[in-house]
Amino acid sequence: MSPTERFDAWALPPGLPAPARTAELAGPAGGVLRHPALSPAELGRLVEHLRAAGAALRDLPVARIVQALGGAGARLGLEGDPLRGEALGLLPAFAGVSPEQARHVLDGMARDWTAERLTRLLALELGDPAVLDGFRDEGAAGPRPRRLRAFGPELAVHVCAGTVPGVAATSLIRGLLVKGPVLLKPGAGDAVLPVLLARALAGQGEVGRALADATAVLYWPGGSPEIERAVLGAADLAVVYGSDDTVRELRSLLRPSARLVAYPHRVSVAVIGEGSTAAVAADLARAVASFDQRGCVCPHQAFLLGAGASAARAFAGCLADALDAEAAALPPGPVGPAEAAAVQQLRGTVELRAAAGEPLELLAGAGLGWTLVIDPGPTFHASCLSRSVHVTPVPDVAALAAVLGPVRHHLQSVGIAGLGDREADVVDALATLGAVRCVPLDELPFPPAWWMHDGQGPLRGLVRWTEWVPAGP
Amino acid sequence: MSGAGADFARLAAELAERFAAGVDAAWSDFDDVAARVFAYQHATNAPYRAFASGRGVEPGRVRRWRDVPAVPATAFKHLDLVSGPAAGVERVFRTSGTTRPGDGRGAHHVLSLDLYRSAALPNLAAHLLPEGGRIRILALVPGADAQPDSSLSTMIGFALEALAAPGSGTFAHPRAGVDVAALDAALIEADAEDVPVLIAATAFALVHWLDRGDLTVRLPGGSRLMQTGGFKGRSRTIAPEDLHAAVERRLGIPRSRIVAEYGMTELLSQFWEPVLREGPGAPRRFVGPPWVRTRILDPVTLAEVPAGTPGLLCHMDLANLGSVAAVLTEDVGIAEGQGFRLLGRAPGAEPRGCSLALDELLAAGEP
Repeated sequence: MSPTERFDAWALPPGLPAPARTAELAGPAGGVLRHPALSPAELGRLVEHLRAAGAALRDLPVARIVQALGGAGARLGLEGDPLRGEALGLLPAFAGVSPEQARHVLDGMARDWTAERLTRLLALELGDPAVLDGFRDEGAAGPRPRRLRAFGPELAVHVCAGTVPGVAATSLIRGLLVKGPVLLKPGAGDAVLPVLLARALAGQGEVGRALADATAVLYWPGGSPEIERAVLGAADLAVVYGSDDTVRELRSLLRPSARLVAYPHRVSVAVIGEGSTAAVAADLARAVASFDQRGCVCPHQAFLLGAGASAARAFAGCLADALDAEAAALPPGPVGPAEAAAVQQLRGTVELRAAAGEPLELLAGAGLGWTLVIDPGPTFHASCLSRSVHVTPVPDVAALAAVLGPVRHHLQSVGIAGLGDREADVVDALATLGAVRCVPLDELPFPPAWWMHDGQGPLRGLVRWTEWVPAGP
Repeated sequence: MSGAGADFARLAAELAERFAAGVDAAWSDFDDVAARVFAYQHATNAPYRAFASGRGVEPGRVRRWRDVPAVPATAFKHLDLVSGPAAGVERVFRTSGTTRPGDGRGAHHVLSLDLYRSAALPNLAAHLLPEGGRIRILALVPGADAQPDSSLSTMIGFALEALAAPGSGTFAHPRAGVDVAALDAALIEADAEDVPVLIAATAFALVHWLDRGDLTVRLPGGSRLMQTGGFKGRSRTIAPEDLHAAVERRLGIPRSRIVAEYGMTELLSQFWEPVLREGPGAPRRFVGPPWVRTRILDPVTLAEVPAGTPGLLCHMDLANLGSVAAVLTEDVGIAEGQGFRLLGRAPGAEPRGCSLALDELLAAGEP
């Protein structure tokens, strides 16, 4: 039996002393996380250091920052790079995913951590990336042209969830991209990548070292009120991923003048035309299997537009085959007892209801690999995860909108396929409800860096603009 | 199904008489009785019959209680699981929680409140009042009249009828919560009169009183606390050790006289910590009455796990004669002596991240 893996879940600015005290915590998947137990004085010094280092970032050209960030990020996508090797070695034990899933996730995420993609992100979000360096003409015509400059925060605190590896690293990159220092708390299951990224920054020359100096990745156990109060109270920008309760609690710790970018819980679905093929089923299965369905982009339910019972059954059969294939190609990570308990409840309940004569059908993979329920009832079903999906035929767009109405404030991605000339109507209806992203099924798992993350561009919320209309002599 | 009502009445009477013999009775024929209960439910509960047939389980072939097919507790949200005449349902107990679109709350249709009482009362008395007699009961659970669909309220009602000494009362209401002023007055009075009390409370109501009042009292020796329920779905949570410390500090009831109860709407029997019967030295665990047997099942395969391995709790509760006796819960536990310990979330585990957790969608309660 292999020894328990330990991982130091922190990366502090290189100039600061190592933490005096650490504690250990069993991670969610067998590994042991070591984390610093910082005193209030140590936290205060860290905050001051980050603020000073952030001020120094302002003088560095954003183009060089992009190069340094992209240089470090690209290493995680480069086959043979020891940093990538280290990540792939650690992710199974610390993110609770299979080695195949670790590779799939890292490839998908790291695609966006390159200088080229980050440059495009900056351009799409801010217009001229150089607005981060100084005032730039807006470019509008007229006698009094406006100039704009964008400023990152004095100190950003990112509180990340732990269920999808890579999300915290992306959050860190975004934060540094706008020249703000970042204090990031990863979730227990997503501590590896932001820590490795922060360490890699120090190797990216002078600019990389400046960025590393403005970065602190710091794990602490959830619900540590003293740390949270100290850290969030010091921030002028907070980025929070988590439940509504988490967002509410952390918001209450911020200064009134501080800004909050919140990413609360979201749910995604698939909308598919009747008569869809095995290829569509394969794309859907891949979207369900990615991140073991824990991502906000993962579909919980597949709606078959205009399909009858037999078309639904036929498609479910294709989907079952595809989920079997994914169980082999992208094996599931270990399933905790709580998640397993929920799947057993779902399976047994569908079995009982079907036996009682309801028009439900259950298809299930080996073990808890996947669960499919054909359910014509016009209701949204939040998945109990572990790759469980409801397949629901709906007669038309109005019926689809009625089913999704109750969850419209949580609706994120809609994977679409085979809708033909109904696609525009479907998208209109769901966009009006609140869906923030309608994309082909095969694009569901990995949105590009410049996606409208929960309906907002990912960088705009991180900067403060100053406008200048020159008064002249 | 003619005669089903008579069949139920006969079986219920037989079981009630045996429940009345108390929690120390032997029940060496549990397998036989379980097989008869299964046969009765198979005959009178159409969905359950179809479910069992689908699994190839027929009454003639069931010899052991372990062979009786278990329905998931969640199924009570979707189906009326009644074994007997539907017209004979005396009360419907419902699980707490907001109503989600498309799903109801769990509903337990109870054919006989007398059967419920006969199962609940001896068990409650044995664990909360092992010395017998009566005691002043201060209930922080709304009364059964105010909350007729709460099985807990009804059970506390049974206790108030049978075991309450003068000065007992109810100090909680469905919407207003705990009546802190009235409870404070009752606590002060018990202290002044040197009369021991049994406080019956949900953890949530206890925290309500602890947060909103500031009374500190040293209740007379012999006072005890029955504590049930947790904090699922609430944002204000408190670690058990902290709650017990607060109870000792504010009420003077030591940990050794705090008795936890584990029950659910879907089961008419309850599990108790046996601390008052066994003394504080015995291991903390939940123990069921002898008419309930519990299997602990592997969460993936649903095979019974070896002792000492955690798994899903699956109960065979003969008091559930009128619904379904074999119930697979969502709770995770581990065998401990004759009972089990409940296991919560692993330390360090955090709620699911950007993907929607079922509970949060429940709580959102979108119109």
